[in-house]
Amino acid sequence: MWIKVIIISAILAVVGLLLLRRGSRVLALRRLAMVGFAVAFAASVLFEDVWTVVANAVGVGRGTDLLLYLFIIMTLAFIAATYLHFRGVEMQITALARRVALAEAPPHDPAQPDAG
Amino acid sequence: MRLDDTWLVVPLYNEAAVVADVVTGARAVFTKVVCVDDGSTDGSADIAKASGAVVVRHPLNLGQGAALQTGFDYVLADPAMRYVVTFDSDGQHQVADAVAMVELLRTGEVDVVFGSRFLDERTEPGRTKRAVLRLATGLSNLTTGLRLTDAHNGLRGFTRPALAAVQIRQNRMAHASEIVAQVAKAGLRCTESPVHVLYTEYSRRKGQSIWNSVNILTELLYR
Repeated sequence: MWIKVIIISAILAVVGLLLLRRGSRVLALRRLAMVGFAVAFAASVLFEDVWTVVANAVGVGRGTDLLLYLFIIMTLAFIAATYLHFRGVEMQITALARRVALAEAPPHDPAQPDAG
Repeated sequence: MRLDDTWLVVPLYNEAAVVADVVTGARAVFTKVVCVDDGSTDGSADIAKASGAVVVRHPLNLGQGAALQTGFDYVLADPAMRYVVTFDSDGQHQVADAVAMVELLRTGEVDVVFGSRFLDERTEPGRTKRAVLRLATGLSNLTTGLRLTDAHNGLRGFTRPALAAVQIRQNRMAHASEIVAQVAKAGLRCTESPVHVLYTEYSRRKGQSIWNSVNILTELLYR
């Protein structure tokens, strides 16, 4: 039962994080989440029962299933973040390329309107 | 007719086989033709220049939408410019249709003219193409509130103030819908003008495939 609530709110949280435009707070939160995730994962390797215990607590049968759900959520978040990042980069490249193109373009000259 | 106050903006990407004819044909009427070369690798830019067009070169390939906006920025820098027509470089469009658009704009009654291949019987798209275009037109009308009979037609005319109100952010093919949406949002007066799109073997081979409509939809959804 709880797993449904958790998964859906996790997806909403990811979307929310992405909608919040980049800022130092979002970046810090993202880095903290990365560290937290790494620590939690390392810990769960040492105490492997933890997955099953947590899974049972939230209503998932096996720890493996919980791991899979988390993995899918992380993957979705990664895809979305990467997409947004590349869109931003593309817009920057476009602006830059346009500036270069216009800087190298022949100037408008009223005396010679059709200069090639 | 005086056409010194009109610019033809031609996005250009790898059309070496036809661009010379397109530019020469256009230059017979329009004195000011700018080809925005979008990083062509087949020498299209040099051919366009030799044919008499002003060439503005993107240092790398960005997409047709980006090329159009670069062309818009370029012609807006010409204080003598009063009208602009966008024209495809693949030989599908007729210069006479572009002239008719400028005449419509010159009446002062409209700010934007969209080309439509469905206003008369000259254009003969295949059945699939017709169906896809109908669907695209319906979707576009639904989201923009304008009532147009064609979508994704590269032939359009703008007055200077109308052009200044448009800012294309869709680098690839979704710019056509974006332009319509911005024209609608800015409350510009617009109309449609009949256009004959010539489907040659060449343009069929190079033209947008049906799959591209999926790409356009995706680009519009995730902007």
